Amino acid sequence: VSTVSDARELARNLDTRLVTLAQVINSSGIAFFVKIRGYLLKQDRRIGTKHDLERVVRYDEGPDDTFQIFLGPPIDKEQGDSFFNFPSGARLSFSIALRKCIGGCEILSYRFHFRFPDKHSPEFIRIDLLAKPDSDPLAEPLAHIHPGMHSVRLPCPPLTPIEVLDRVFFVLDPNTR
Amino acid sequence: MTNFKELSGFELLERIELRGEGAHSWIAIVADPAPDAVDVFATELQSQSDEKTNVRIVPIEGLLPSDIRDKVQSPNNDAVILLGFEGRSKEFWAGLDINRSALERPGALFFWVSPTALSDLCLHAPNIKSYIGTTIFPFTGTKGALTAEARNERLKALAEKFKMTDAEIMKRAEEQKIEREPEFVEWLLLLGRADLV
Repeated sequence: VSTVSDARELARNLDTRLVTLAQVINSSGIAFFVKIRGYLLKQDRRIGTKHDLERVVRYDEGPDDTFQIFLGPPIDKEQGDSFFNFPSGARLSFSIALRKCIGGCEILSYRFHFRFPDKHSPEFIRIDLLAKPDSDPLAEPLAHIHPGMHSVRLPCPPLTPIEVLDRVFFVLDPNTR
Repeated sequence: MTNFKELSGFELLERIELRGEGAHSWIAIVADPAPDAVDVFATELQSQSDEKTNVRIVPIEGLLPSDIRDKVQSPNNDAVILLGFEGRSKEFWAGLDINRSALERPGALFFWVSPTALSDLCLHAPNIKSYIGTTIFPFTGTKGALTAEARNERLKALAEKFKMTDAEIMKRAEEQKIEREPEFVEWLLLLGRADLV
């Protein structure tokens, strides 16, 4: 019989394996920022939207060698022009936190929030990476997807930010499917 | 410097792209010779170029014009950023100017120069200057830093969402009583408290 304790133990083992897959980015924070913005520019051209990416994609250099990259607000509450807005009516926002390390930057954490057009079910998909494994990895895995429910977190591999964006633009965007 | 329109790397690359394929662009970028700046510019150039175009940084310190030609021509269809023009002699510039045709290539050629090196180029290499024409841009770095106002807006949005003040989130983080959600990482980093992450 599998109990919750057993499931937690398995989830803990999974997190232990996954944390070793967390990637180091082979560049500075600012170089990674321009790479992300360049990626979005190419998608902007491909799908025919016209975002002011110099305005909507932002970075913040913190003390202690930290670096953050933002698109859109920290909380997706309502439509606005600071998101990456898709022709379908979907929208994307994200934040990525990095810390300088030997050879580049480590990804501290990220949050990618993709909101589908109105009346779509599920309403959103959110892909998160936590800074550290949680004490209850069954409920809160290190890397997880919220399938339209804030309280539900399904584990996934710790994708790089570019790999997440690939899933947004080539899998989630309704115009792609 | 003030005679030239200041453009960020992003704006500059958008302008160059407007010229279209095979434009044989020679462009002078007036910038700090620090290696970090050229690396960021190269990344920006690469990230905006099509997948077939490679971007290559070619340091030319100590190279003769014939060496530079060899590096620029093999291959000749990528985008090359030449740097290391600081303190080069009048004879070097004159030699490069005479051999300018040997530098012609299908791919774009960037001259990464300080204001002093640009002055030397204009003075001692008039033909190269004419190839470059008016495409001289000061590189102002990468735009997109979060403003103080935008930072405050983010902090306010986080405080409203989680119904906590900045002081409360820091206290809870010190007591290790917060969840590990990415919003809390963002919040603490915006407050300059990476030590609590």
